[in-house]
Amino acid sequence: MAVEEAPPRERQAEERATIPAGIVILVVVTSLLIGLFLNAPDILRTAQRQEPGWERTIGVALMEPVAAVSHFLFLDRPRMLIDSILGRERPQPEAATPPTTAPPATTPATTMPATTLPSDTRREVSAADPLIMYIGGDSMVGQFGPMLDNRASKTGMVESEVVYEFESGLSRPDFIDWPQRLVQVSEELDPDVFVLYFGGNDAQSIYMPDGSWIEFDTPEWEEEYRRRVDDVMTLLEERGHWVYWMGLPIVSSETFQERVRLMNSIYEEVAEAHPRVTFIEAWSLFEGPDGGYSEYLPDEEGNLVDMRLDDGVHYTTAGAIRLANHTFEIIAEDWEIPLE
Amino acid sequence: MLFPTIQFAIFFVVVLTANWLLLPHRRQWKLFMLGASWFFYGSWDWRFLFLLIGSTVLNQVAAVLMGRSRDQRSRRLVLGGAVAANLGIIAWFKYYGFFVTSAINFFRTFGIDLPLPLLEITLPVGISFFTFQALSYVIDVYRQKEEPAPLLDFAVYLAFFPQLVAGPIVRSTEFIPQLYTRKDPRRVDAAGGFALIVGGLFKKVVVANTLAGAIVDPVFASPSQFTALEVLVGVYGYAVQIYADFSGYTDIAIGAATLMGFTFPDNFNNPYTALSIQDFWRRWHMTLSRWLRDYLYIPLGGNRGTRTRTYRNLMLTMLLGGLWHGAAWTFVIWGGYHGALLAWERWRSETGRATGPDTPGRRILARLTTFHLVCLGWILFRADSMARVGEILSRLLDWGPAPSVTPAVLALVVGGIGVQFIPSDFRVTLVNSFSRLRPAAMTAALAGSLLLLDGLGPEGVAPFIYFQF
Repeated sequence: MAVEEAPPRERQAEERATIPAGIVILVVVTSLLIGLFLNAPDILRTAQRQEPGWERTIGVALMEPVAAVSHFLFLDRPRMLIDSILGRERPQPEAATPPTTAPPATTPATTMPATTLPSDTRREVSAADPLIMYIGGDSMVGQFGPMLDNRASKTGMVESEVVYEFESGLSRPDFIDWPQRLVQVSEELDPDVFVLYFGGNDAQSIYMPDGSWIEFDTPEWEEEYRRRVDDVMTLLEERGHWVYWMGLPIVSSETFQERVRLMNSIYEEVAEAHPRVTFIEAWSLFEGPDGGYSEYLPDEEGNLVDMRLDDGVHYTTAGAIRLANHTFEIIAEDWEIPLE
Repeated sequence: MLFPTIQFAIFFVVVLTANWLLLPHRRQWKLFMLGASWFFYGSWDWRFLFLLIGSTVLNQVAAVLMGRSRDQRSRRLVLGGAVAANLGIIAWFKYYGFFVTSAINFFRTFGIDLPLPLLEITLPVGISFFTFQALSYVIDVYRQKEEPAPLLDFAVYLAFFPQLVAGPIVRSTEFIPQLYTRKDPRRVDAAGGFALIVGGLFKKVVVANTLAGAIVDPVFASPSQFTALEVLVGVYGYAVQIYADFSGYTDIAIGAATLMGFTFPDNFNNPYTALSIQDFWRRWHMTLSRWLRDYLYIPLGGNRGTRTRTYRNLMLTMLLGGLWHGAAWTFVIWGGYHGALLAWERWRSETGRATGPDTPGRRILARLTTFHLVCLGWILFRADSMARVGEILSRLLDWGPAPSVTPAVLALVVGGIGVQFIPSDFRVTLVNSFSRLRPAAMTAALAGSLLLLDGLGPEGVAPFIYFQF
């Protein structure tokens, strides 16, 4: 076999100075504390984006004063400088605190310029004038998005952009304000089609613009979530876009299955009221022969393949290909794009 | 509990403090470290803690039985049972789905439906690493290279948190004696530990995570969207990413152990400077290479038999090494590819075809060839199917504009490879200079590093690649 002996250990050089363990601990603790102040805005933001619960409460309660002191002492400025050099727009603590005025994040439709409803006919798509497709959403897009992009691009008649944000969704506009972001995409990219995938992180309390929370699994939650889904569909429809709203697949956890059913039913029902929105059902596409969750399903050639990741929610590449093919068949039929 | 998180930082401060405070109380130290390590492992999924405890008990019982027995036959029987049980556990958790689907798909081609149950089995993090450590222990006891250790010592060895989930694969003969070595709390190699931890974090958070998002993941997900140069840089990028990710983890593990007064074996030694594939395996995941050498290649006969048997042994070792990395045919093929290259190099050397003057030009050519052969292997390793491998290779012929190859991506790829050519002496000098700083200056340097790490790395904490193995 290849290995015979280890190379010289550079970290054991004889001339190296050593220090007592007590000083080592002091150096570690002090540098971590200074690091905490230097990175306070980002750490506060990380604490704030957590799901409601004791960890978030404690994290935010600890980090808010640290961030305030860091800002007061100008300790956060080097970090802001790095972010600005790298062109990153990371919100500062003040911006991340709950707004107390009007709720722009959850009512984008009311902030839109007045538009006349566009015509119901789809434009003709060709290689010279390809379909512009935006694929966005939470981590479910991570595997699915590139596979849909891959499948669609094979026709030579589709150009796609794939964007996804981990841990995001419609419940937490304080973290990623998706409606606002979609408005921006509408203005800058003006895609023909939005393929949207949400829900993976939405089965949690909803953050309201006044800083309050609506608890999950209550009639108020369902009403507010339904309104948010409707708002997104309305705003994109009014801007002349066509929307394909992805449903969530069957998941391994029975508790989570109930939540997924609830969200899928909301997406499907709201989509029915929007002529330019198509709900793409994914639940049954990933059911096993017995109608339950199955990690392994046959691929196009009939071979059993691992379709789902160990978390029982996300797709493997094979699973993403399965859903992407199914989704693109629907899109291609709508837009009269030959599949090959 | 991932290394680059606040949770781990808090955990480590507590453990580091207790480590030195409890030093004079050996038993309390072991009990505390065992509890802390189990807590660390349980933070992923507490149910798998029972697996780790089960593995500890199983292997310790086997070691004690072998230690007590004078009868070679019964010792061999116990060893066989222990090895089978260890491999059985890993086969169940890691390979069940792979073997069952492979069997079903194979028989389906002949029209036979195998009624094998498909189960959803979650892979416990680090199972390949601690199982290999446990195997090395029972085999070494069988070979009488070491006596069975006390249960508490063995439990601490198997669970010790720095190397538990992704190596390096430390031998019990390297670790357990250190439990009895008197550590001097007045002389801690802080600079060495800090340099490894900060360097490891930089490799993981800045280099590996940035490259993954900027070029590697998109290229491997949809190669057809990219031109030849982008795919080529994507492949080079993956070579740098996997090195930075894995060696970053082991650097942090070795650095954390150093601060606690422990010495771990090195796991990487500038692998992309290798002059041959054999040289590469002397420099890449060195603790796995020596494990495979000592517990698989040599027992198979090593290079003691005929030339053909040597090639067979090399191939078998690398095939199993490939399978160790993951339950997929691409990993097996990757292992076979490296086995074939090792056999080919050996054949060239043995038949006198690899001779010639050792000129700088030849060395450059050898390095370039080795690096590109390794990169070709990485395509097999990273791609999720052979169809995707073909797609990636075919894209290498389609030249065109390469907007994804940004200056930042190029800098990380070139820097990630180039840094391996910096002489070790220079790095030693740098760390030694750092060691002579006053504690306040050292603190400032570390705090500044934390600022850069968090500021330069992409948002979020991606798990280490080798966690899945």
